[in-house]
Amino acid sequence: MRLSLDLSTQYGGFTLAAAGTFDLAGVTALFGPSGAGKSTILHAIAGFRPGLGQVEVNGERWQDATTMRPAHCRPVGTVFQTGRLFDHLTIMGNLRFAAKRADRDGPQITPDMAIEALGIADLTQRDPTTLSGGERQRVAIARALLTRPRLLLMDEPLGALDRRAKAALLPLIASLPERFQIPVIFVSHQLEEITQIASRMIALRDGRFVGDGPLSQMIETLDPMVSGRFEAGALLTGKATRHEATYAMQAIDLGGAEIWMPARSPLSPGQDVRVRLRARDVSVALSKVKGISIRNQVPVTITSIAPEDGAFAEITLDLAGQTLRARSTRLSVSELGLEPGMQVVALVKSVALDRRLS
Amino acid sequence: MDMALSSFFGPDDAQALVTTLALAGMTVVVLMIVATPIAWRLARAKGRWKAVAEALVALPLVLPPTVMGFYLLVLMGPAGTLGAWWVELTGTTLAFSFSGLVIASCVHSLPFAVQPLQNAFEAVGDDQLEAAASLRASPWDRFVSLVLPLSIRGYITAAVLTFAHTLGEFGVLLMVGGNIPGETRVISIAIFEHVEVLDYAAAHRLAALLLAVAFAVLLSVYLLNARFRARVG
Repeated sequence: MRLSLDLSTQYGGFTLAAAGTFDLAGVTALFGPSGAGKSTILHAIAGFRPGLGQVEVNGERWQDATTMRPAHCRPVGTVFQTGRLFDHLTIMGNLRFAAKRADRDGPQITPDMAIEALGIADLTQRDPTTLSGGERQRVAIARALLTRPRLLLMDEPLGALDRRAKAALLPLIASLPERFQIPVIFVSHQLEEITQIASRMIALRDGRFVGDGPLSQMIETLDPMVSGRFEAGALLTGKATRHEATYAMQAIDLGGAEIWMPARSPLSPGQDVRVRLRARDVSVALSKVKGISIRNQVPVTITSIAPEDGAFAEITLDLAGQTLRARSTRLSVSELGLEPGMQVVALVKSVALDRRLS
Repeated sequence: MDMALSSFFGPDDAQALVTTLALAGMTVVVLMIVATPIAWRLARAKGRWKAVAEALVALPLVLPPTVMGFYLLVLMGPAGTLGAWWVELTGTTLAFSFSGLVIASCVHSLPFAVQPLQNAFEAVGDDQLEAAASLRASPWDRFVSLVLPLSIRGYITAAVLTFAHTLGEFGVLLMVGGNIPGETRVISIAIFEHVEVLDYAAAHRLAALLLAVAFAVLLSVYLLNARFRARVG
């Protein structure tokens, strides 16, 4: 699916000037800090913002200066941050509301399919007011699917949920595109959420698109100003190897090196995994360091050094073809005499496991 | 029923009672239909014209009934815009007829119908309407399947208040309808007549009836509000 946007507006001190064409498949994250204009863009696609500019999907003009296809005529489903269930209807009533008005030509999604996919069979006779936040969002997703949309929009659907509910819903959302053959646009300002489910990312900052592409590539190149000061990092893929039950540590082979990370339960050996290293958790040393608590010391090659505003610099490192990023002060770079091409050692303070690749 | 009423109130008063109930019933039906679009428009309106429209709708609350009745009489008389049009359409005059009474009563009770409906419609947030639109409901569909069910309490309040207010009308009805038995003679006017000729017993019977009905009606509205408030809030 091809989405073409040219949106602009101005209110208060906020200027939106977002133009771009995107290929949507799987879960596409629309990412940016709070107030960047993510929800405004999503609402424009859904049809709630007439006069905001141009929206075109697969060559069909949904809105521009003179035309406006109303929200109820657009083949999109929307999941709002707070669910927005109808409290005067039961859960089944909410689902029927959508099913009754479903697009006949859309993907053939039946109430049974949606109920099963979201695991809400036990809830159908309940009132929305009696549900937990996570349950409400499950129902909201099922309800949106039942309109038989050709594109599913999710506006920070996990924003109001606690950690556990989030963890339960993320894999579910990640499975939707394949299960129902619908691309998903997932709005979030949480990199942690996005790295677990998205395959592509569109980055937004101050009302402008500042990049889009495959997730791993985007994470590597993300401007720290977009992702938040210390959130820049890198995604690396590797294979699980040994697990030390005594210390609850898991070893992962990154091709050129092995790193250890905390893990209570062992991963199956040989399993593909994706790990995220934040730039601020990676330091650079000229050689292996002894007498230090950091275990993960990985030999790498410096590919580039980018000074930032102020005291810091971002160092890009190559590890057998994979890219790491380290954050350091410009003073350190100068004192150590770091230069592109140098063989150095990356000290990795902590590693986070991301989605397990299947 | 008629027999029983006649023997208790006397045939003239029984007729006035029937006229009053018919008038109140008609007013409720007409006003629910007329007030709905007005209240919806006001509930969704923004800006300075909203205040102007709200003030216009609320006017009957503060205007002396004789003033309102006077203007309506002028409008409905055979020389008035509305009256002339009515004569052309039906061959009868609007002033001093039951139909004229219904129109006057609707104008006079308008705020009692519009305000509860407007409150109910405003309580249905834009969030909910957007959600319904995202579920492919057209604007009309959204109103029928979302706004109406959520506004039932507002409709009950509006209907009950309109009904009760119509029962108690006097000035406007006297100005516009006069006092024609079986056509425009309502209870409040009948009471006035009884008092004028010092028939206090007859006045007491009707006055007590109106008092009881008015209290019962208001009590039901407040009970309804109290019961629902806990659930909605």
